[in-house]
Amino acid sequence: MVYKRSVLPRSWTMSAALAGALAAVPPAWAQQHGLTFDPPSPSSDDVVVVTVQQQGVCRVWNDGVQVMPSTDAYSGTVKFSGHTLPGPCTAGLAEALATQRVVLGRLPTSRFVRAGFVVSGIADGMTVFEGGVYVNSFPVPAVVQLTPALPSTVDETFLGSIPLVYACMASAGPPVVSGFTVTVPMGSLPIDPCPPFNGGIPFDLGVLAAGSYEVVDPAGDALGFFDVAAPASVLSLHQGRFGVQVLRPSGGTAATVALGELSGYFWFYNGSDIEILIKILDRRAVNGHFWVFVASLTDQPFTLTVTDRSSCAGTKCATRVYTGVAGVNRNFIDTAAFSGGAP
Amino acid sequence: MRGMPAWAWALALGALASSAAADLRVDSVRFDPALPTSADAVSATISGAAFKGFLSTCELRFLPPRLDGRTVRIVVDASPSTPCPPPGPAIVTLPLPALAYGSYRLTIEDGALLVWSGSLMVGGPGPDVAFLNRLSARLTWQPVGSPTPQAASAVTLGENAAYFWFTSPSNVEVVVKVLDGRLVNGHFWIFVSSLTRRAFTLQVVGPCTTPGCSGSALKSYSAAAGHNQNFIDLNAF
Repeated sequence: MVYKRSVLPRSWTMSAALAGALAAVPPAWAQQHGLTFDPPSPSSDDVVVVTVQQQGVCRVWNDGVQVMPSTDAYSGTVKFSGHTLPGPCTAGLAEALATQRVVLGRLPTSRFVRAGFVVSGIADGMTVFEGGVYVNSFPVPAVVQLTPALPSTVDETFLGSIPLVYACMASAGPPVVSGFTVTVPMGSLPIDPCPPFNGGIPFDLGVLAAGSYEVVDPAGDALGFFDVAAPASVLSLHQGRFGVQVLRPSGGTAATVALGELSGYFWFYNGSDIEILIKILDRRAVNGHFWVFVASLTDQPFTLTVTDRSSCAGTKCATRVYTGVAGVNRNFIDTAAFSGGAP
Repeated sequence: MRGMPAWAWALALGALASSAAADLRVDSVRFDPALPTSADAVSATISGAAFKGFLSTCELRFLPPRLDGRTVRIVVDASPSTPCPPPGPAIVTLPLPALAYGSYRLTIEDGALLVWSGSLMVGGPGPDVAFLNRLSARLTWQPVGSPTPQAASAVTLGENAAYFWFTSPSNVEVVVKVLDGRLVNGHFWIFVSSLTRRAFTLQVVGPCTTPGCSGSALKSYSAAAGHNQNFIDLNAF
């Protein structure tokens, strides 16, 4: 893709050198000549390959690649070279050379910023192809930091940080949530060294509906993905064999979040305030039992019940109950909790 | 039907397979660990049910997940199998391909149907510091028979909490919570809860609050081997 306009941040003030270089290459001209980049929106970790398409000429593009990162951190140039084959250029030979792939390699960028590279194909002393590609300084989509890290529809969710390139843009406003898209506005100038995103204060996204969200920049490019789950009151562990429930002090069941197949946590009033964590390990090979560990971060009373669903006969199932009393912070380690089944 | 050409049979079977495809239901997909890093082996546990005809088993059966760009694709194995027993809920755990740092889409597809889609974030490898509110926490633990403490890996659960693991990312060992109690007593509150009897030391760095002190201060919480010990410090920083 040549001059993928959508990757160009609209509010990004380009360096004068890059602006001038890009202005010198009309996108329509470049597209007409069929330069295509793979991947179209690479990161600095990607090996970039450009596909050239030509008609009626017998040029080969295997004379080398020269990558020149700019000192201004926001732009660079890449030149790949070729030459016209001597002798008659038959139609068959020209057709065989119509599409060629040239490995440009990794295109280095400065910290935090997305750099634009002007890519030129030079043969027989003249510039034949010219195009451009933006290179991200991080592999996109990246990881976004959320509080809570695994939110549900009853949580007020905060966006703590986003890929560094945006943390380094001045005057970024609050993200805008629309449907399942979170758009992060950007400021006008990259800043180095990088200040804390929003001064280190997480942005409040509010309570989000269940679904899979995409964090995007104003051009629509994905910065990251995250999910918001429906709230749960029963924690299923070990592929559903065990169900865990906590009765909270004010009555009703505590909300739960799974951290995997072995563990999860419960909260009482606020999704960001973890109160109890449980893990169940399969130690049947040691003593024939599953081991239950309950870690409490509270001195409020609770009743935690683990049900072994594999043991159920009708409505009766094997259970273990662990009770925390008011005013006492207490853990439980139960190494003889449940047995049965093959280890 | 007799004398039906092979291509017609193929079309008919394809139509049946298509109609059967709509009868796959995915209730949930859970990743283990839920917050992995690029150094972790990650699995997906799919809960759901299949209500298929004679062309396929009633078990949930999938081809090995594959990485397609930033999408992990899981495709239903639609190959004919044994006749269908009574359908019911099923749980299948599949190992995912190695995932580098970044955000991923995960899709479950049944033929041309997208049955489920979700997201997975994979952090960078081996962070051993958790940043909580304005504090940072680092934990070392003592392996049995080793004189040298080792750094535990940290997994952040948000601005207020994190957990540490020692040997397996699925095996949570210590969880730390930091609450800003300054409006109540002028201090951050630190809660440390342990799921282990191994010896560990948690070091928390925060703003210095004692008179005449500026910069950072360090608080340490050490649990001895053989004991399961929590810490609650309401005057931490």
